[in-house]
Amino acid sequence: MGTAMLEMPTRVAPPFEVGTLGTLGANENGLARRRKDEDLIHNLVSVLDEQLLHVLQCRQTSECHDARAKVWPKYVRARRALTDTMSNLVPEKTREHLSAAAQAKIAADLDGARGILFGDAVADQMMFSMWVVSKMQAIGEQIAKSSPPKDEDEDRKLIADFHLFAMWGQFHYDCVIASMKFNLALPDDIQEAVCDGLRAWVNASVIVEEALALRQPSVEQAPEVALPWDEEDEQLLASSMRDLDAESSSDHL
Amino acid sequence: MPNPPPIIYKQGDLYWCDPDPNQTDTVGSEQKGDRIWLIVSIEKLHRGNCLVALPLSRHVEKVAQYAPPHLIKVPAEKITMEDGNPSINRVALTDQIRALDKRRLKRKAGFISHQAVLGVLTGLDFLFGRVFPSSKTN
Repeated sequence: MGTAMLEMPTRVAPPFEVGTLGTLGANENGLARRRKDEDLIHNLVSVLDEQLLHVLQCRQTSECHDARAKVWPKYVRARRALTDTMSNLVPEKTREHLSAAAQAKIAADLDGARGILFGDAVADQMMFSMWVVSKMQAIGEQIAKSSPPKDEDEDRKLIADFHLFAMWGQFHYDCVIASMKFNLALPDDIQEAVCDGLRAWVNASVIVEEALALRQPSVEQAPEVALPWDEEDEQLLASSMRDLDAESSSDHL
Repeated sequence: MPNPPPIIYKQGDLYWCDPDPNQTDTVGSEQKGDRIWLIVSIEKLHRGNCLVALPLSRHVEKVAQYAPPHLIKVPAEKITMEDGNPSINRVALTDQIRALDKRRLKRKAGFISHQAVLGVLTGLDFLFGRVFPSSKTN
């Protein structure tokens, strides 16, 4: 095969269930798994928490960057292990419902933590990240229904890039979740680093769109047609340009 | 003498917006208020002289301090300037999107990468409140 974007149950969704870190503690009963399975998952979550706490306990940017570099390899291994374990032990439908419930809970928790554990920038960037992930999942569903990519080498390169950006975004996402889970306020310097890391979701989303473009024709490939243009259009355009001229000398964007 | 070929205004291209021809005292520079505009509309769908663009601000501190997440950072390495000058980090002001007259976009400043264009379009999607419900959780 080798052409599916990520070769995982939810196709182009990230290689992990977003928000599971926050959900597992709150929805133990819903998992309805045997005790040893639960223990395994909880142990993996503990390993993840341990890595994240190293970063959350930093007070300065340079300290945070060092701690992040140090825990990153172990975080990636633990994250992948958790994803694989969840995929193996928890039915797909259950995981999807857990993920949806987790996102609703995280959104509510963010409102409660805003201004207390972190500022508006982190809270808004988290909401944006959740939205970006939902967009990626929707595009992933389209990819799953599409024909194979036009260029398989390019597709493989996109998959590699996607994993990198998605994991980087997920790390910072998990940092915010852990901040709420352990009631740890994020210092200002750390908040900036977290926001910057969360922006990696945009890169991941762009890659998913490129993967879709490898499978579907774009608007630019449609035949050219003459589009109508009338006096009203001309007046509206002139009005837009007058607005622009009026403000162009008064401020600096 | 034959007419020059028409300019193709492609999505992702950067243009300086020429000053109002009725104002003869402006020279046209970013310092004087002119801006680099990023074309976000698709060339094939342009009607008349209208295209849709948004400014790429050089004030990246808008993002560094606090900015709504739909303002998208465009790193220097994703920007190519036509004049050969080095690019700088910029931020796409998606909420300043507007219709522009092609006749005022005579000087091409450069272009941004396709990936950067898609990033900016993601910011616009968020700004416009697009939602992406999953069919799997219904």
